[in-house]
Amino acid sequence: MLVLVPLLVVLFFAVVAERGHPAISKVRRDSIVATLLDPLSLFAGRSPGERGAGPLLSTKPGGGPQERVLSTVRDRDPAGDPAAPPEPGLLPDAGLPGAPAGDGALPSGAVADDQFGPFGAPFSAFNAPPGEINPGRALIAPPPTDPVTSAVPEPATWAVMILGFFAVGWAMRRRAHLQPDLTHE
Amino acid sequence: MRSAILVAAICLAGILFWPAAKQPAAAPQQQMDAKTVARLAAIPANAPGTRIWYAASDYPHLSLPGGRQEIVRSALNIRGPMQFGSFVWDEQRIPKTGSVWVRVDLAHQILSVFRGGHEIGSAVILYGTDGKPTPTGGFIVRQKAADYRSHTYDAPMPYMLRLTDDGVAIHGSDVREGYATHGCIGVPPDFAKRLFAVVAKGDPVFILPTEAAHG
Repeated sequence: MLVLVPLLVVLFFAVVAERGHPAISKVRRDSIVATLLDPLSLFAGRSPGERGAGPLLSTKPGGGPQERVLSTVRDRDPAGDPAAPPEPGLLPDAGLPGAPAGDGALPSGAVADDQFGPFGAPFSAFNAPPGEINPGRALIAPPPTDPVTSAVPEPATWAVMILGFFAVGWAMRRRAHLQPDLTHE
Repeated sequence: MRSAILVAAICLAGILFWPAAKQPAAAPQQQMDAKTVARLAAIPANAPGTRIWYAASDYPHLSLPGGRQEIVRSALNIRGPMQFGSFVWDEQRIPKTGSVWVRVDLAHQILSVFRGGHEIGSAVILYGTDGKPTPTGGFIVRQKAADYRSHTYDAPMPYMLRLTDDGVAIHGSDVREGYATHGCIGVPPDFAKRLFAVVAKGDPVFILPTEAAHG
């Protein structure tokens, strides 16, 4: 008999779970109907939730929290995108001894510097006899552009900086150890 | 033995009567016949292509800014939270003619467009930051431009529906969680395209405030 009572209770629970408790199912049905009847409840139910303030803020260095939206300052460069590579110019490559020829050769300026120094090279190369002119072509090196420095340091910079801090810390600790203790004679 | 039976009996009584006690007292239900209740309760949640049709004798009213009241004949059957960037559009079996109006709920980040009292589309929106809030109230669509580019922000604003003279509009946007606008209402681009096709110049747009603005 003692075993039978819990068994019956478990059985009752199982039946309720399977078929649905009349009171529970009525509550659920009423709530569903109430939700469906009221369009406002429907709208609220499909909402992804209220917007929080946190996700809109960014605490990047440089002036406190910023709202992550488009900035009004957006000046386009009238000359076009400066980051775009310049059109590759074509220059006849001289048949210099030891200089690689043909398409995809080194920039002629670099070759000239190696061979002749900064001044004499290109002219002497072009003044070579016609028979020695190589018809191959070389790409002109792109014109020098202003170096772009990022506001955020590169990872390597960070690493070196942190390493430096460690070095300073180690030196200070070492110094503290080496310093004679003057308080106790 | 007796105590065990007593405990079991108390448990049973609790199971039987506790849910009834928790039942909300007098839910605001309109007078409905059992048939309507059964029909509404039988609608499966989120089944594609289904909508909730209200009884013609008892259309719900929506209170909108400016003292406007609009009836709702049917609503999209979307139950459960929508994802950012997602939307539902369904105008099957809905008359092609009828007054069009848009309801923008900033608190719930939801936009719904109605035609002839039937909700035909709904999407999750982006709206203005606290620093550049989206204005609330009743507006009309002043200008439509399918391929618009903002001069102020130098940014594309496809399918733009201008609401105010100072540049607040509904337009296509990359709707993602955690993002906001400068006062415009951003909707997914595909949704914006459909909205643009349905809404005409002069149609009303009602923007409801956020909870914070209420109090």
